[in-house]
Amino acid sequence: MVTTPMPHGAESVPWWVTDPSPRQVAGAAVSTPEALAGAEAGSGAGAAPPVTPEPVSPVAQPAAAPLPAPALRAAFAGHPGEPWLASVLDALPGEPALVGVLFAAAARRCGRGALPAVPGWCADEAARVLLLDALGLPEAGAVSLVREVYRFGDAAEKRAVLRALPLLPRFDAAVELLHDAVRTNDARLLAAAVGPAARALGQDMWRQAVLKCVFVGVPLLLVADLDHRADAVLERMLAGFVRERRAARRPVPQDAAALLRHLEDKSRPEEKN
Amino acid sequence: MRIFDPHVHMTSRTTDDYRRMFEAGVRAVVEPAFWLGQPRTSVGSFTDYFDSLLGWEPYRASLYGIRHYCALALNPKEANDPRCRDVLNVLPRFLEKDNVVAVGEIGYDSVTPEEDTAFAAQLALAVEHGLPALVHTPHRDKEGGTRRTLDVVAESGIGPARVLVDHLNETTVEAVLESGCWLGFSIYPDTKMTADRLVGLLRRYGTERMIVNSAADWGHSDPLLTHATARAMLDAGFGADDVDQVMWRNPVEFYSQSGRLDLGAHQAPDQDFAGNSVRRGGS
Repeated sequence: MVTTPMPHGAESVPWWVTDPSPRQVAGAAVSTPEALAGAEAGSGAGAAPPVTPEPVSPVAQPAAAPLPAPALRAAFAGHPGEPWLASVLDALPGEPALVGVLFAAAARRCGRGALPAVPGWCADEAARVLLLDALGLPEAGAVSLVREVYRFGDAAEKRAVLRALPLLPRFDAAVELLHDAVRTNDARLLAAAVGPAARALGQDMWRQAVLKCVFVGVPLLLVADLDHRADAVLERMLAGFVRERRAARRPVPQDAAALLRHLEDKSRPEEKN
Repeated sequence: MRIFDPHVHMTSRTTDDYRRMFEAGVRAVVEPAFWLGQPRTSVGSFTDYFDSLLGWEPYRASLYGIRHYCALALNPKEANDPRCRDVLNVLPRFLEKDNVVAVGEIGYDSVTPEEDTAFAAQLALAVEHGLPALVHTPHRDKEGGTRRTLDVVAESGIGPARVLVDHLNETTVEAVLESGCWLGFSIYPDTKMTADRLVGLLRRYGTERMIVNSAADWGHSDPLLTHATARAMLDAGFGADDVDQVMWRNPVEFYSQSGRLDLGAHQAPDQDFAGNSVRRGGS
């Protein structure tokens, strides 16, 4: 069980956030959920369209630490999905092949709302993580079953698998799943892959993933261990990105600029006298 | 005006289409699995396609303010290819996914014995997985194919209220009305059905169980023809409530039978983190 403390909590503002106000690229504004709510109220035609030159991404939560399964389980106390969850968690060790169907059904049975006791977790993802944890299989079997659940999962299921990886035995054996997520352009999957599970990523792929976050709009706040892992090569890559953006007179995301400044400060020889 | 396009192949469309659809009032779509213009030769091509309909495409749609659901099936054309028939064996796993609100498109293309088998098997899958069915009617021998479709639906045991028979025209509308199935009309620039012809049908047969789609794909088609049809209804004297029934409430009622249409739960708790979920515009 991994109990690494949370590197960047939602409640603590990291060093590289210099402006606590919401950060947005000029021109981007309206969120899609609000747009849909407008549609349901029958007021869609008059509402300002959310379509902007820089569309909004439905990402994601801060880089929550991998919670021990018992904390996720306890968060379901009194939750409407709890009875279903309890019954399937009991049944699963005896019939691990059921995991595919149960994994697919989890959001319908447990809902998709936030679990207040575990910030950064919603019911469907927490339930799916618990399902994988409950398999309790020998290591090799667990890895192949987890791969299969990921392979046949929709985007929400894939994301739950990525978030479960740090809780599972030998999760580094599933590094190919992280590579798959980094290859996609789906910000939800990328955000999950750069969370605590990213410990299994090699440094080269990890740097690519961080740069990809900058490109597709995953806030760097979601990258686990950023302060420890950011190195001179990442600094060089970020500097190149910033030069390109400035040459094109395009905005540089504030978190990327702040990270670059921090890395430059760290690597500059100390000026004394 | 709010529009639910119950049949549109967004995989074949650009992001410009998503922008224009949103501007025209489209807030939700269903993308049924069909063929891609080029025959596929393995089950793997289908599972990758299904993954795309369950992963990338709804994500892409969400970036433009549109909720994307899908219907999955082995389509009638490719049901004739023995290399594709095993898709029927992988479908049960995919039909359990949250975003799947129907089995479709199923039905007939050339009305072969192979199509009979796949059609019946997939109506049974719809019953088994608690899903409604979206049924394509053939281009050739449409009247004969539609009659046969309704016979197979009646034999299958799925209730007619859980079946949407699509691509109807003046010659097939009455048989489907009598069957109790929902009636689908694909508004095309100049083939299957046009906005003006549809308005005539609505005048004659009313707005109940009537569903309009663009069926836009990689061919000569237009995802804004749902909106054009709504305008044509208003111009012809239909009220805003009639338009809302045909363009939104009817398709919502049909697909809600899946129990998976969740237009209110669009917002996950993680969708806007500290106002900092702005997409920066790709690479």
